[in-house]
Amino acid sequence: MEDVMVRDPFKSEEAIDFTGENIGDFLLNVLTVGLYNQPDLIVREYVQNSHDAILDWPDQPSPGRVDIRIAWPNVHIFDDGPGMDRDELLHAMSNLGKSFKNISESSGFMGIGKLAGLSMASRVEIHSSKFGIPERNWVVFNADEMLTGIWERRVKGDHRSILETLNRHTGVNPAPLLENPSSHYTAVHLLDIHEEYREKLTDCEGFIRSIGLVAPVIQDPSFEHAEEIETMLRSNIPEHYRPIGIFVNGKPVYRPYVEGLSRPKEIQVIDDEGDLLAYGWACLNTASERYKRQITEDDLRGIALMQRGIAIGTRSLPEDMELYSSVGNLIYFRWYCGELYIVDPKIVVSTDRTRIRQSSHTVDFIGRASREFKRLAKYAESFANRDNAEVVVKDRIEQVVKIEEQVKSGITRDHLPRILSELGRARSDIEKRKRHLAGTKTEKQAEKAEKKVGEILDLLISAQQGDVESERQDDTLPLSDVVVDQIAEVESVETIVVLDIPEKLDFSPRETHIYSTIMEAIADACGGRETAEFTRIAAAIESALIEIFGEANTEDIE
Amino acid sequence: MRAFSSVGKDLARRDDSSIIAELSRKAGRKLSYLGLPSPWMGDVLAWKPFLARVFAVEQEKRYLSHLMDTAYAYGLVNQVVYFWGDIDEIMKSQVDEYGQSTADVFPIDLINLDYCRGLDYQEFKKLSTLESLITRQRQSLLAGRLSASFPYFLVLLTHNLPYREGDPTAKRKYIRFLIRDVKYYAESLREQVYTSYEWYLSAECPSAYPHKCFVMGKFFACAQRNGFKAVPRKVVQYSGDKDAVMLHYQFQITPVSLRSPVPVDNKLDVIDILNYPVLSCEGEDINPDRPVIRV
Repeated sequence: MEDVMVRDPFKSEEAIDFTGENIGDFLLNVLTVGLYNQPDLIVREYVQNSHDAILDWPDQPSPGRVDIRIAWPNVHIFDDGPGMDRDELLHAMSNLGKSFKNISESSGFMGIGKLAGLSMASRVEIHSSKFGIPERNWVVFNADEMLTGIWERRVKGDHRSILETLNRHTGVNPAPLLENPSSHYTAVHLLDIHEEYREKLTDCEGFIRSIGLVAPVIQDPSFEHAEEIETMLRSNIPEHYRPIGIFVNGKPVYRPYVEGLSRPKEIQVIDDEGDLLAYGWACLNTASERYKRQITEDDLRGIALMQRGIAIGTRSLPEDMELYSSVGNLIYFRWYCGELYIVDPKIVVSTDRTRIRQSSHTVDFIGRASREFKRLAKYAESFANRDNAEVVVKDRIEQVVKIEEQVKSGITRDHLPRILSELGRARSDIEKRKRHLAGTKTEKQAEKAEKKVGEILDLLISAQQGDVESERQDDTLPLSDVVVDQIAEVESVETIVVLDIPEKLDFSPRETHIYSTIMEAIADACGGRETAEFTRIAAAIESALIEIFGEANTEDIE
Repeated sequence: MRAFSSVGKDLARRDDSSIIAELSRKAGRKLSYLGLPSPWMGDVLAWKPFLARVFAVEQEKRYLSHLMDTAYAYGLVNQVVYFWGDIDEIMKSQVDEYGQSTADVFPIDLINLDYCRGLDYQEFKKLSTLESLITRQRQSLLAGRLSASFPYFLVLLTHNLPYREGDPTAKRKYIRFLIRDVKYYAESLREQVYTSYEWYLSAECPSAYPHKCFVMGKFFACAQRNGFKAVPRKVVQYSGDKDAVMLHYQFQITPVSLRSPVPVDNKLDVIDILNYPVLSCEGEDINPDRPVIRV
């Protein structure tokens, strides 16, 4: 030992002699149980294999489709791909952790996906009949026996080798069965599925929806923009957008959708050479008023990242990956529903398809994508500003008309402070929001309303001078000097520059997001942003925030 | 796992196709099927053009995936619903081994009970299955599922001839039971019935004939008890798997008085049963010289 150390202690390491014998069978438990615990994701894994098989068969005699039959406690998944002959089936099933697919042309768990069902079903059978060969062959994994055995041995501190366990609990048919000569299929039979999966699998509608969210299917034909989206995807990324027909108990599976969305906007992420890295679409929810615009279904809210039509993670992934980092307010993406298909082969998805692997290439991609998302955010912001302006300005115009009527029909001295305050707020709100209404009918109405505010104020001032005094009762005007001061105050409102709190206090995107969420919740609870209750609470929060956090920026605020 | 099939079986199935097609035409729709199709589903595939739903009962759990493979290979995957377990038990309990209820599948248009074994004379388990099936049909029709598009239903029944099974005197006892009221018949008719009875007990009577009497007698009684009229369309003997002698029956069952079932036996039924020919799969009477009772 000393000699070795003296000779060359830093000599290159020597290989450890791993054999099947010294790899314990608990590894199988880790592999299978660790893959997924959601039945839709387990089924997706097999659908993905089917999708790859169908797409890799150029001479497919019919459009590819996958049929899923749920016959609790069993699930049968069939695809009409080319199928496998006995040797191909054995080769595919006996190789674990080896994928023979080109990573850029397929998507998968790198040869482990076929084990996904072992954690869910007591027995997994994979049957296949190859096109042109009238034979049926099958491989069986006795999952329950295998995993129970592994656990029992583990409890006793015992183990077997992974090879021994696999050999003991898997099998192949001794001789092929005759099959319909024109048949070609691969079937995955998940048999005796464990009870905890019952609820999700027997809720057929729910299961169809969850498969529709993650599988390579077309948009629901009932979705008003489905055709346009299909055309966009098929003409821009034909190699990467290749949906197949998927049916659950005979019912077609489509991508779920949200009603009331605007026309799709294109998302294109392009590198410096002009090559497309990702392509997609996003539709804005055009429901009026901010707190109604958020898409309520959280599995459809935001932009889904896709690869070959299969979802990567959930719709919160872009946020987690900071794809929205260039956007000040993340709320805008709660108003969008869309998909972004990653077509860059250098972007690698994690094996469990929950995220994208970090690399310098990914960082570059995130930077480029976030610029595209900023564009979407700006569009959403401008829509929101216009919509909010429409709502607020119309409300203020109505208010001005009412005040005018009140003033004309006579007001008491007691009413005056309130009327002046309302007029001031109306004028200020109209003035602030008018710029978002350029070219609209409301813009003209707003201008008229502003004039009207001026006229009412004139009327009130002239009342001070006694012009309208004769028309009033004893307890009404003339106005006092105090009132005239109030009028002056109202007239000066338009000169105040109003900044949002996040802008005033220089909030980070996250802080802005939290602030917006809180304010939205308060607005919701108060019955809208235009209510007096909301105004009061918002003012209190704003003043508290300015007091605590605004010192450093006092000058800016002022 | 090996397919049970033979030339005779194929001929019988082809013959069944014509009455199945006829029912489909009369009902104006495709039919529902309940049976024991095995993973090969030979009967279902033969009658596929007339079937809308297939309720398959499979006793062997390990065959279920193969049953679905076959259904898929022949474009039936979304039409097949399977029940796992012994049909006799399932019909008795109305649930299969998975706990899946069979209640909603009735009424069925076509019931095909293709038993590879015999219908035992002494333990009437399989006959009680028939009784349960027919009772379920009645209950579902009474529950409001009877409509103009349900003119009648078909029961196809296949069993082998169990030469060595059961009590050898049972056939004789049963035929004696069938003709128990013959003493009230007119003399000429009574004599004919006795002649026929003697022939049934003689060595020249092929074993298919007493079996036919047993199955038809039991089946008619069962149908009548439930307010149906059973009419045989054909009884065929053919050579099955491993040259087993098989008997195949076609029954047409029409609802007549579901709410107040009519009395079980009548004279005409007994004479019909005794007279009814057993055909070979080529359509010829297997014993053309048997005595025929003239009413």
